[in-house]
Amino acid sequence: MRAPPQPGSSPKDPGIVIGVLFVWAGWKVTANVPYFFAAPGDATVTFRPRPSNRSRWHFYERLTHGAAMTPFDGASARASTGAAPGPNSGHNSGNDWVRSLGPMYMDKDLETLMARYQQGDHSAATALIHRLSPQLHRFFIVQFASRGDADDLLQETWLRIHKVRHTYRPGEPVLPWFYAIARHIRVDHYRKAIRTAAREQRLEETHEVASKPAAASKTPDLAALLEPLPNSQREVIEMLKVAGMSLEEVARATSSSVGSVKQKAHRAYERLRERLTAMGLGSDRKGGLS
Amino acid sequence: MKDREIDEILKTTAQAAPPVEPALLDRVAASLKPSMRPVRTIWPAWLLVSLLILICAAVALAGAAKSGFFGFQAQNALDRAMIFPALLILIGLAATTSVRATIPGSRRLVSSAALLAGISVALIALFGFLFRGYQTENLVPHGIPCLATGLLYAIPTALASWLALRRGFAVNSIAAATAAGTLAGLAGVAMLELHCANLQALHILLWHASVVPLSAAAGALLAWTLANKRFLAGR
Repeated sequence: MRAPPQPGSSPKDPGIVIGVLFVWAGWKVTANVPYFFAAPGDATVTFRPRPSNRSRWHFYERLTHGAAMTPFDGASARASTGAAPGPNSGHNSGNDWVRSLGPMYMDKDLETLMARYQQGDHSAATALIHRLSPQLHRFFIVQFASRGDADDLLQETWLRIHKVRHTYRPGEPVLPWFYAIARHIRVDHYRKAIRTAAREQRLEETHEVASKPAAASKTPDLAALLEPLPNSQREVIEMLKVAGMSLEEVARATSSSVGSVKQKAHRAYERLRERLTAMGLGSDRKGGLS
Repeated sequence: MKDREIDEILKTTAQAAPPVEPALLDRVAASLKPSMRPVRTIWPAWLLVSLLILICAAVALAGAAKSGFFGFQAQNALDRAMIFPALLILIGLAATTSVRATIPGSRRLVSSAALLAGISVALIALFGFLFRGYQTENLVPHGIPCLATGLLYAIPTALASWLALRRGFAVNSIAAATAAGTLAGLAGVAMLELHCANLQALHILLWHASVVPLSAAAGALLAWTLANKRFLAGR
């Protein structure tokens, strides 16, 4: 025999008091936990502590590094990863020397730069900006942004990356992290453009002002080639075939599954094949997705 | 035309794209310099997931301890063996999805919408399988307090989850808030299962299970409102 039905507690119950106490305790705990969970040698836990935490911070610093930290000059990072010194350690924008070492070394190098960036090394940030901006810029242009829009989006992306740089965890793939943020910026821009267009519609109709320079400033080649593809397929093709990311990395960057990425790439290739054949480029033979 | 040929064409056209102006890159680099300081990286995913599960368990247990474990006492062994492990699994899934939704470039299990739909269906199936009784007598008077209690305990869970994840929310905040709302709703359901002794199927399906979608909707609405405010403020 089961107990008679009883209604739940009244909303007047002081559950909210429990909640507030819980939140307060959570705040206190989260302020101190990183000191105890970071792995020894984890150079990312180097934030400037509040005065009340200073002595604990010094203890932690000794615990994980064995000595007081010195400003990061990049040489030790190269020594630890085995990467050769190259022009990207400073303000140089070239990345061919890293590409020549293969994708693994390039990822390692990006990870090293990212770790240094998180430590507050401005030269690492500059190197990352020069290294990754061309492909991020191309990513925006492929999405039919004008050159000016792509420049704006690139700046906005770097500001956002700077703001959330603590969300990158060492050891995780670097490119999906960057592309996920860039993609989010693009979506925001798209929404903003829709709203702005909706507001500006009436003005354009009234004054009949011709405004076509935006189309002229688009990059014709890659953007025109990918024009018939929907946005989702276009970004997958850009990441997979132009930026050279793996299926897994693209899936991470687009918050989707590997299967979904494969499917989008396959459909995009079908469309591209039709388009290129119609343009008279290449033969009419089909091949598997490489 | 072979895929390799398409690859070649794509590479050629990509190389023909105009380069980024070096002055622009220097401007971007210079703009970051004043705020360049070391940062503490976000916690590992496993730690955040464990913390969220603990938060849910703590809120549900604290609520039931305060109001009484009448529901737990009224349930039979099969009910207990089915409901609480299932809730734990669903909470784990929701916590993992919440954490991954807040961190850019994370591997995703399911989307937040699919998570909400899946959990709602799973709860309905579970409760529909375990409980019987579809009387409509006193359905609303007994149901509203349960719904209110479930939502009341979802609030501290949501707040504590936000505290744990507050350094994330770097990309799609609406998806992350929906997942966090789903998680908070599950804590509310867990508390109700421990406390409410009304084992009528209709009561549980209608008033207990609806805590999850309502809580998720509240989370999504809150995130959407904040995102809109930020948009209007031009940030």
